[in-house]
Amino acid sequence: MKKNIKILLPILVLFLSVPLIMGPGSSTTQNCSVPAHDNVADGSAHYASLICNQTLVDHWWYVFDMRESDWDAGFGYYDVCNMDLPLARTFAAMYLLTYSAQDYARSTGDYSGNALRWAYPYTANNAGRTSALCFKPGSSVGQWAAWAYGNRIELYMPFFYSFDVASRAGTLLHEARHNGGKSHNGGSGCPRGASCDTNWNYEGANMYEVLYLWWFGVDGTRTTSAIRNMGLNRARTVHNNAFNTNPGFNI
Amino acid sequence: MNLINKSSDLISLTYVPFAFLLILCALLLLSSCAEPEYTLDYTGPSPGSGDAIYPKTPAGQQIKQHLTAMSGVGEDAEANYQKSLAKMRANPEVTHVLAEVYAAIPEEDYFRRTLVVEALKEMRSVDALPYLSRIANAPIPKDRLPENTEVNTRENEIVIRITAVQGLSVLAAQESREANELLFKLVGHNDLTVRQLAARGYLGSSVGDTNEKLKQLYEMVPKEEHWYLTTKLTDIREVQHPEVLVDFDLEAFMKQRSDNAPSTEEIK
Repeated sequence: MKKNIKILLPILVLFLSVPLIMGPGSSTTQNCSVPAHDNVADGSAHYASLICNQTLVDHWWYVFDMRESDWDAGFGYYDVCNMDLPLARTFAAMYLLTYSAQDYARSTGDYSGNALRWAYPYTANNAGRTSALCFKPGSSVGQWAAWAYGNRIELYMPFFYSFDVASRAGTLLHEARHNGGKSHNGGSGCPRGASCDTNWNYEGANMYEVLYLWWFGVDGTRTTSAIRNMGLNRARTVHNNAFNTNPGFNI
Repeated sequence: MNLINKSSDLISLTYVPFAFLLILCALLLLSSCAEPEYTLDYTGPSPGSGDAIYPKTPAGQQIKQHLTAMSGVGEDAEANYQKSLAKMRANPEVTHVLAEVYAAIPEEDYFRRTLVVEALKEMRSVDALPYLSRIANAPIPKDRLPENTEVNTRENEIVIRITAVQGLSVLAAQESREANELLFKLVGHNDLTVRQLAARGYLGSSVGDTNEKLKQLYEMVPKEEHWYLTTKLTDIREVQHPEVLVDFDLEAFMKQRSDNAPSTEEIK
């Protein structure tokens, strides 16, 4: 009997530790609705015809390790070109990342050129499995826009419906940089008080975001000077708020 | 007795691998269940929730079309935007209606608020000055989502403020003394990016002597912020870029990941 207990005990311990192994909130059920939004106002409508392209969709589906189980249940798997749904809105951001440079990278292994050019290959190669959820397990709807961990990026409702296309693109690059091995290392020591990087030399997600936005403002194509100026102003703001030591650039 | 005990031990030991196999299966089953189950309800096409902010007047509808042109994509995006901008500048009424539209946009619609301020800036009209001044000087609200460390709504507000500061800078460059004065006052703003852009606009103004202004600002601005007291922009090509990319082993990486991926070249 004692020996049986010796065998059964580890089994019991293993079963009891499953929730710990899987993480908190791992068995949550999430329900959410498409919120009121304006595809014309946030710039998404312009991408509707551009992303509705089988070759393009196949490419992104492959490099971002996207899976039916991550994008079904209303998130757009069965209606890829519908700009009201998360999948098409994510593809719009991927389109912007892919084609921001005039001489855009022709393969995901081409890291040559400026940040505008390598932002897409970098994101594609580092994002990992990219999936959609209503909200981050353990939080509520609207608190989080995206989360990178291990080799995965989870995207939540604010990413899809509160961000314009350029912000979505910048977020994908930012999260990919985390998965590329750089978490924020500056604690709360920068003016924004969270998600800080110590300095420019750390080469973290904030540096990547600023570089992309800066290059987009300077050299972005297939867009307007109005949107490019918005990119520059975003770069200026992140530059001044996201580093413990201000890099001191006059963007 | 001993035999029975040994036999019992033997039975128990025989079942050990099966027990572990069972546990493994259960763990695998549970891990597949660990993915959150989720559904997104979709009741139909987006109603275009923002239409109500545009007055049902020719100027209101012109602004609506202009904002669409501003966020255009494609080879002809800039040409279409410039065409629309020329029409906007030809209609003086539009400046005032832009201010009305701005006031009607919900606070959290940061993108559209920025577009409207960018439009006000690009009107390059002194009629826009009071509106730009009001926006540039409006207090910056705190971050609305402090729990979300990756998104900071305060930064969206700063983008709006500095776009307005740029609008004042355009007017100051066109010799508006009032805009020049407003920029000088904004150098004392409590946000660094607003101070930086105001100083830049003040130094780039056509009113007054740049060297005199530079001396004035050196005395006024704390020493640790003297880095932005210049009319020269940083050349992005001279800024440190990530080193990791230099060491990138293209050949190995291509073999690992990209062999089977459709290339972007096929897409165009």
